[in-house]
Amino acid sequence: MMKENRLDLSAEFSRNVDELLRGARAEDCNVLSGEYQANLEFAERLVRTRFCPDPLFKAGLKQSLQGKLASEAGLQQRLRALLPRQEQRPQYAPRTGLITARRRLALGGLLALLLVGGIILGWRSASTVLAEDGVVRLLRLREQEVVVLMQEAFRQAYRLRTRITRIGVKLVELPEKGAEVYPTVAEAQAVVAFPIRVPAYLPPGCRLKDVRVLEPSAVVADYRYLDDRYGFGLVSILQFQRLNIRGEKQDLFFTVGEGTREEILLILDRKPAILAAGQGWRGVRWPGKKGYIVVWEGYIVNWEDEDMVFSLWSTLPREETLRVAASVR
Amino acid sequence: MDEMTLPLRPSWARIQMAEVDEATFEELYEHYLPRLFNYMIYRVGNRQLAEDLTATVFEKALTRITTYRRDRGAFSTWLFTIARNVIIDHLRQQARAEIVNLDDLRAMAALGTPEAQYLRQEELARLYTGLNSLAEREREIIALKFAAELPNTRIAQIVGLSAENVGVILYRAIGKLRKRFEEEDE
Repeated sequence: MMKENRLDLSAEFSRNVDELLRGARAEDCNVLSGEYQANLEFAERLVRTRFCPDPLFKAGLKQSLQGKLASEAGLQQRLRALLPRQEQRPQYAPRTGLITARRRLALGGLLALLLVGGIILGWRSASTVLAEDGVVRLLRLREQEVVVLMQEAFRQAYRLRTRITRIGVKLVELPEKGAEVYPTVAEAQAVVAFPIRVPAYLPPGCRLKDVRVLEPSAVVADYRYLDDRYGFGLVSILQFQRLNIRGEKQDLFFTVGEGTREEILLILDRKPAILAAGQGWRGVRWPGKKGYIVVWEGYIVNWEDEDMVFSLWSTLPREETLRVAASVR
Repeated sequence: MDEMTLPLRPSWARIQMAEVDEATFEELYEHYLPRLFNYMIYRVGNRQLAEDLTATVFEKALTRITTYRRDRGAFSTWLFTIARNVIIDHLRQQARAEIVNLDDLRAMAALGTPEAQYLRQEELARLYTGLNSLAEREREIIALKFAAELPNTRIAQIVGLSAENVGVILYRAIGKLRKRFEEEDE
């Protein structure tokens, strides 16, 4: 009982402190006891005691960081952070006096067992990867046209290299860079052959970064957001015409990550298929539309509307992602 | 039909994150710098050191921004985890006594906002001394709450406790700090 009371008290106190941080006053808060009130008033004093950085320091650091951001070297450094880390083996000095031959033998035996176990497990997981329904579904979809070959599966079990035979349709890929970049939708619209659709709803703090025109029949609008609720993240909306201006049928194709099992995701005949296994996809519906959502470091929602194909990539929560997708008009 | 070998490369979102444009950086900087600096002051109590550590955290965060994953936690949790690690590294290198610099704190009070000037300079220095008398965990939780302005759930993720525990420690620590102030007043 005492413990519960203490929990209630501290939970209420934390709630009140959060309110104080949002600008409320201690006198407006719910007071539970004399001691509680004294603590709350003290907390209010702390809330009001904000240490501010020196303006010169603030400006100097900003300038220095901006310089690093703008440089190609800085970008390369950030991209390098993405690469899988090579494990550095510590160089231990030999301690022969401490490790006897028997211990070494036991250790060697254990390692050998672990190695054999690892190989068996690796083989099994790779087999599972291949057998996952993404590949099965894909093969079923394009029986004769798509051949999936797994290479180097055991040289680097975690990194599966996939080769696919080029299929009849033109594949539109969400590029990491490139194309012509426009700061506004209106400017991009002038060089695009279809009306660019934009979301009517964006969460607070979300703004357009730029619009990339891949070709007259395909554009990507990149948004960024930053607020207390969702933190920092991004939303990108790729949209393209099913038939491009040359009359070629286009489909969606993208890789979603290096070194991950859900390496490649392909949209064929309006259905996504994930090679090398992934978390799969689920159908989603909203008024007048039907699409697919893929979970991966956030969410990817794909749908079609008349002759247009859409793919929305977002690091927002699922509900917000779907809300943005539903509002694209 | 010809064949193509797909290139292996980092995921789209991470590459996008690496391309931090000026406006995004500006927003991130203005949003988090005051809280980060405030947090550093609570933790190390030395203005020069707090500036150095704040700069280190920002540089690390921007270099590693591509490793932030929304599905693993809020951005502020990620950022203040880096800040906490920077402090831990620093504290390992230096004895705590060397860090406390009350003169700096007094000088800093003059730089504060009108709200900061609510407390007299002496009182500000007293606050820091009081914070130093708390246990490391209590001090850390107070800093994450009052300086970084994080909710208990995010503090819990950073310090590896439950949100309920964070609430209990916070309440207890504030009580201790208040009593210390009252004793000094008497």
